[in-house]
Amino acid sequence: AALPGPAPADWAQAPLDPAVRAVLVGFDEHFSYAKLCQALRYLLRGGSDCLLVGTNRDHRLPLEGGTAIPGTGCLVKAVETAAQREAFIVGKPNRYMFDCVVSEFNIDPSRTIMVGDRLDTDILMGNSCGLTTLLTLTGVTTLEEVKGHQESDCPTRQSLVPHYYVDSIADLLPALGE
Amino acid sequence: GCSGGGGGMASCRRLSGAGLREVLGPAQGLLFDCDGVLWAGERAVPGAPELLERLRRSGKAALFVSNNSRRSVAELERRFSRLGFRGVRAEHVFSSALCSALFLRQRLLGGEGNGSGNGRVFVMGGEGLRGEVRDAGLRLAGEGESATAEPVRAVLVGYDDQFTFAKLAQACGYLRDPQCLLVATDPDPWHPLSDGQRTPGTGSLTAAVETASGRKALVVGKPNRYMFDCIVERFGVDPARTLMVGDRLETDILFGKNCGLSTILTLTGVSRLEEAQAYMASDSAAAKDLVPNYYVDSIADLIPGLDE
Repeated sequence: AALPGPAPADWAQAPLDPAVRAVLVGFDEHFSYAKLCQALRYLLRGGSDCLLVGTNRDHRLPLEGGTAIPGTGCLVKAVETAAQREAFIVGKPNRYMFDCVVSEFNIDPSRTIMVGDRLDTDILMGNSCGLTTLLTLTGVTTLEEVKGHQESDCPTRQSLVPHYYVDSIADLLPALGE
Repeated sequence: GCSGGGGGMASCRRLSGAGLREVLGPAQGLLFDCDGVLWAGERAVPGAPELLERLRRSGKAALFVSNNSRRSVAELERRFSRLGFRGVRAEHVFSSALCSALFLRQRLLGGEGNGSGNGRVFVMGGEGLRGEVRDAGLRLAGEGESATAEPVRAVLVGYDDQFTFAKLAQACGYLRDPQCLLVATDPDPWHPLSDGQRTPGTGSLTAAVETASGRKALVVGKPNRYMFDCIVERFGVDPARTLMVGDRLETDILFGKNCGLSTILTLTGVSRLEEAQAYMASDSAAAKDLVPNYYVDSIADLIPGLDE
């Protein structure tokens, strides 16, 4: 619903939908201070009865040509900071989506491979869920980055290291039957 | 006497009676936060204008230090007058908008505009903040752009009720240059509205820019020291003889601690006495720094501590 008036003092007077029980933050190219205001109002009104959920924490979405735009993680952080509470994050590296897959398809983690290009989402989730992890180098991650984590003493960084890597997923073809 | 906030643990004592005279007597001046201390919305805290008048008559200085980056100091001077406070001039008021502009002037222009630096500032904020940046001799990105426009040398995040995803993306573009500074006017996550609701603060917008750019912002406002340095440069205050009066533990009281000032929490604003007591009971060293030396229900309670 459109907000009355040009200023936050006006927006804070707009009626709140009594049925709202959750604020869900996803990728929103129309994110604005006004929306942030409304999110804060729902979270304060509902307290623990109003969920705060984020689809994912990605900082940046890479575009062709090496540039990037802000990711959903930025918007989640804005809401979390204003509301002084932590969102429940659905996306990788959290386990929730893997749990969804398991309940639909009866996956055996020890016989499943997670394939991804991003260490702090794809590979971390795979490792945390007991999958074999395979990094492909056609995306955001370089081999140098992986080596850096591998050589570090820090257990958190170690959990970003995949079991295997390929230059591209096309490299898997020769291993599959005729 | 009025000892600085440096040594010893603060113990959050109510200031009244003889204690009031002991603390206020030796003080040369008081620094006041504004929102929640002097006024709430459009209403002066009852007795606050009288307190300032009594301070003036006692020969004690009153200076103002506010994280609110919405208004220029000229607008704030008019606001003081409109709400019934006499004799407060713009030069007495240190807002995060003004101090952010001074900070950027130092860093980009090398002080009084005679440095070798140039370049523009991308300001995410309202007209009050933009005006302070212009008055400091800086050029704003997005104004009078030409084909040979100078590079953007700083992104300044303030209270921006017109914040959008597009502006966030634009800021990130500028911040890809590691020479481009990321500065925030203040860290406040939210501000109270007069009906008890809250509106998001600069801190929440800065968090978005930091996350997108992978950079940490330099924060000008309380609890960081920079605004106190501006005050000392202009007025030469002695921290050991100056009291900090504020309503927000995490900004005003910590600011006082960081600058060696004794602190007074007033309960007409954001923080509750229970929060101060909880910090006092905490084991963490960081929590202890948020405990005020003293508290009052309202700054009007300070009046009996001054000479007739």
